[in-house]
Amino acid sequence: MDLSVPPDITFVVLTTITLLAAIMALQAKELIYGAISLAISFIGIAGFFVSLDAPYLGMLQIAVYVGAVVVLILFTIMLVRREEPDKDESPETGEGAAGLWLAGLLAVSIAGIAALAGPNLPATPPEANLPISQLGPVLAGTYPVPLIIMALLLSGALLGALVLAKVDK
Amino acid sequence: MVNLPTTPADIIPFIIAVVTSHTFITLVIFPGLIHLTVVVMFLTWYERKLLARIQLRIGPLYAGGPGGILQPIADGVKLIFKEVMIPYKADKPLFLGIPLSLVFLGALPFAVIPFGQHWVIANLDVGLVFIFAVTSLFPSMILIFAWASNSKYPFLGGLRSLFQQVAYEIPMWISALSVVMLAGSLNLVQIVNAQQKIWFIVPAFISFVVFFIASMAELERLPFDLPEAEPELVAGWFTESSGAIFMVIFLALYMKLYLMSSLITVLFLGGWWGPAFLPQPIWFILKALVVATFIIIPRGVYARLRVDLLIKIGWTRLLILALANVFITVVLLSTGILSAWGL
Amino acid sequence: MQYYPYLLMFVVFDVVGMFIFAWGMSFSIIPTSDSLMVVLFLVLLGAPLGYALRMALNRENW
Repeated sequence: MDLSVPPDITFVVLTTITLLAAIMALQAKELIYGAISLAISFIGIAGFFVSLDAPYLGMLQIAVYVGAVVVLILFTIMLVRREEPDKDESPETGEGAAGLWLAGLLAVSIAGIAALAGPNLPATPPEANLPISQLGPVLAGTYPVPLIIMALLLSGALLGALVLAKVDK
Repeated sequence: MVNLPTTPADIIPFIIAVVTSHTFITLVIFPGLIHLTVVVMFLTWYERKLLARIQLRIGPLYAGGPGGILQPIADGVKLIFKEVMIPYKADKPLFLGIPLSLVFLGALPFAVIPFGQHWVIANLDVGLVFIFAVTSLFPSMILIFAWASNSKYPFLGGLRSLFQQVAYEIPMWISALSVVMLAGSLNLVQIVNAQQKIWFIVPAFISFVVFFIASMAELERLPFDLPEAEPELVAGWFTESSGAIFMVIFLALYMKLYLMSSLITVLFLGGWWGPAFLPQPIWFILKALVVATFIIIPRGVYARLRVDLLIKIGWTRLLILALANVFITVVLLSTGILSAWGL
Repeated sequence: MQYYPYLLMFVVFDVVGMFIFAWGMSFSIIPTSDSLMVVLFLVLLGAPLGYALRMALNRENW
């Protein structure tokens, strides 16, 4: 890893947006603001896909996540009655300090791995060599079995969600 | 790329180079901001005149020029001067920010729609999916706006609007799939170029009908008007918006109308292909306006549908029709009937 | 709450759309056996979707 090269400006902006939105999604007082911040972090991830030469995936990430999953979350938030949150201060639980410790530990271990394995990585990342017109043939031709497994997985998830949401008489 | 000006004598050539560059012309003049604003304002006037003539009235008459053509500007000025009332305990940042995002999202897909062979701002290889991604953001924004109004009627209207738009997006996607199969690409310029010999409305006629009805439902136009049902919900999800906010939402709705008409023209009606006595963009705009006319006319003619029937039709009948058309397209492509027209 | 299955079906259809558009683009290029795999994918998903639609339309469930 060459530390003398500054990181790409797109990468820095996208990382900041995604991570800030994700943190706000967890910490927001109003759940709706949390859902909107989640949507913004999904858009940030779609930006990552686009910057990594996968525009198709990025656009469909927006369509699926921000268009459908966030709608589901919002619908659930808006229709489930919940009590007003307590106005008094919650006791000190030490979450902030534990979070910082864990983050520091993770950063040190990643830096250690990068320092040890860095010299063995190629100097330039490999080119993306799947143009979008080839996506269909690769998906259906080279990977038909994962396609069918994904169909079964989606069916199972759908049926499970329906069974859980059904009202028992 | 032009050279940045380094001395004061370089500024004027730099400005001239920027203004006459292709990016600037397409972004700002045509098919960019100025054209979009003018056509959207024209569409508001056009709709009122058309509905008036259907209902044996006259429509806007006095606002200057022949037949009240400056009526949209008069409307805009009036709405700007009205008071913007924010409901009690409504969510102010969301209430004020979401209409602006709606206009932004309504104008954004125009960046990929081609009005001529080279009149496109950004010729994305994934253009169609980009448009679908952006239009799928509308239901959630409308729901958030309806919730942020902190009032019962907008919230009900917002929920109904959400389910209606969600129900009709899938038939739209699947009928666009027929077009993608026929053209073999998601790039909108290539889709139009593939229609050089035959417009896709001919082999994919059922898809055209499904897409047309689904886009009428996406735009919340009669007969799919229930989120805006005037005798029941006052104005649906934008009941609480007044003054400038209503104007912004109104503009966003008409931008979406022009977007859907342009999309139908690109996907089914052959884009800009026509006899050579008119330039290509003029053909495109003419076709888009004809489609917009046919979207506007049912508003003065049909009665409104009940909301659960509406959602049921979207999920059952239109979906089956769209899937049937995909099947027909598969058959047509496999047997090679369409090779005479280069498909 | 009775409209919940519609949102679930929408999510599943969105994900299916991802694969379907990739298939639709390359339909005339790939051999028929590969197309049949994608059709099998759709059929395998169609059954629970049909069940979800029937459950959504049936009012006594909610």
